Amino acid sequence: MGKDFFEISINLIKIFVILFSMVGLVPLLVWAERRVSALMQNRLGPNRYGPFGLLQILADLVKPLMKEDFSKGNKKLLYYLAPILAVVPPAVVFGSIPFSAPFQVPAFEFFGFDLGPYTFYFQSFHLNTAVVFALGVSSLASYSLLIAGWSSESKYPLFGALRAAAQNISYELALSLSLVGILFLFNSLDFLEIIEKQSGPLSFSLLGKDFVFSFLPNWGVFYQPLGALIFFVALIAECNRIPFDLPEAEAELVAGYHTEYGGIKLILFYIGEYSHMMVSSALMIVFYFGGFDPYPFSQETLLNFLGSDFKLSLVLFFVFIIKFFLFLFVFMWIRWSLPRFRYDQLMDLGWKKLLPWALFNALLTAWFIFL
Amino acid sequence: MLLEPFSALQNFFPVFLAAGLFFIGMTGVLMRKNLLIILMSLELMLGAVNLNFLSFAKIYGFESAPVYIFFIICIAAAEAGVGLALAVRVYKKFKTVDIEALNFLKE
Amino acid sequence: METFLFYIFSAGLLLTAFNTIFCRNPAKGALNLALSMILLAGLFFLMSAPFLAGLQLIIYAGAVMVLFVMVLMLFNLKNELFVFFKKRAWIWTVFLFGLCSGLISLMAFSSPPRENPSYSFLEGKQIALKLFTEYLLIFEMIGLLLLVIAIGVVVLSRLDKEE
Repeated sequence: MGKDFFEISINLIKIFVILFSMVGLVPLLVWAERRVSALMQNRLGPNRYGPFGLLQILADLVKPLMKEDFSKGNKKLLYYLAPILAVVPPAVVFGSIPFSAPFQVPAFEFFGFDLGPYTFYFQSFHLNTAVVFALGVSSLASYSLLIAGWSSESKYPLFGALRAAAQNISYELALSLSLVGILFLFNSLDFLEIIEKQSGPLSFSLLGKDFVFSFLPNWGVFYQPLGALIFFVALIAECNRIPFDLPEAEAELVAGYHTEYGGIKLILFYIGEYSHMMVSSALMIVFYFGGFDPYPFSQETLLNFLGSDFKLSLVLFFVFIIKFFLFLFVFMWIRWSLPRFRYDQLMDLGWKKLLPWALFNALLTAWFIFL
Repeated sequence: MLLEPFSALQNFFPVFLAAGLFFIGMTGVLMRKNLLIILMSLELMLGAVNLNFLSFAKIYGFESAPVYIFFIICIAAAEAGVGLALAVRVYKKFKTVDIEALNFLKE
Repeated sequence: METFLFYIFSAGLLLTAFNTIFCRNPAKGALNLALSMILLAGLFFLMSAPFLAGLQLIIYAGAVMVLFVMVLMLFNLKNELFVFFKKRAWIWTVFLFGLCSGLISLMAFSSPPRENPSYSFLEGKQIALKLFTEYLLIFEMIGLLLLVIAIGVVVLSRLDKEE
């Protein structure tokens, strides 16, 4: 956690700040979703309360807190545990994703204590095998669906939960396999190293000749367009977003696995879903779009321009936020443009189309690296 | 001091834990009548074996331990799949998963 | 700090293991087993094997246990009235555990551990190197085994429709 009390306290504060900012970003995303859907559907979203309708967020926060808890008398512990379990895995993975370049804090003096040189990471915790960790913990998100469906003691939530869990574990495979190409290319399991290797212009060596395209950055998406597509589709499926929305299908299964939940518990489910969406967006950026790499510039020119490590990290954080919100916009755009998949089409896509293409992508990457 | 003889055992605490888990799983296999709980206790035993491998690797520098652990995880996953498929077939045919009722090969 | 976490994880593991074998409702037992797999992955992390911990989370806790929980929730079995406590099994357990503890203690006191351990063999790259050079045959055979099992499970669950 840190060598001395100052670093430990800074790390603790950082963990809480990241966690609460993730949870606090969810109402903003709800508002953004309504405005984006309005944009897609050629109407205006909430624009009455406050500038651009931002006070609608306050109304959205207060409304579910005031709702009646319509669960019948004796519910088990698992019924109350399921919404909490929906938020925990995305929150944990969100802490391991770097938002900006780490900067070195030089040795300084603080009230008579000599505090040594630190490295301040923009993550809750810095892992060397972060890729496997992120994949593993995000696969635990299926448990909250199952527990929610089963402890509701009713047929429709149970079926919704089982279909949701089946969809989740099917697309986990395509998710993991499409990352194999990235692991081949960048040879590391650490997020920071993967981002570091994606800086600079596009340069690779094929059949002994070196190619440098200076107008394109060295991002993963240009090496692996197929892998990026598969990863993106699998991420949408993991978040249970439309077009893979069958678990929450409003018209078909009453409301899927959260039929018996109302008020705060339902809001926790939505926080979990939006957190998972944020984590997906961040993962997509880290693997395929260079993380916090500022494309037209490069990190060295920015460093020379700004002069200090700390300011560079702030600017790169800003770049990350821009890309992050861009991808969240793409998620919402897809949601409001495509109809929902039928269950057999969904399973078909996961097993018969995405999985073989992911394997083919890994094979292709291996061939190209060999050449 | 009281903990003097235990200082050599410090590294071996995970081994004791793994042994304990293994024997708890074994008791589950011997004790329960529900087929699915027997399968779950079997998974518990395999997990304990994984822990054992890893702790011995840490103590003695056994280099190939992660390979063994990887193989055991894969085989356990495969065997769990087959066990579940068989249990589903048994349930569909005999409407029960009680192993004391499934004694058709007796005598 | 690390020993404190180790004790917490061990206590959790033993508790969930006992819950699994003494559960009256199989679905709760499966959930307890899932929790014990997650705690085991945490223990792997503590023992400086993060790659294996991630593998355990992905494969064991994230896919196999979800499958178990799904099947048990689909079955909707009735709760058992009480768990039949077999004394003979427990006598064997305690006896064998005592024997094992004796053997382990003998091993611990007789051979000294090595100095300055380096856990570089637990990283992903070293594992991959070993898998693809020394243990290549077994790796391929496990791939074949998984293929056979996948086909077998599909066949097992299909025969119903043709009967």
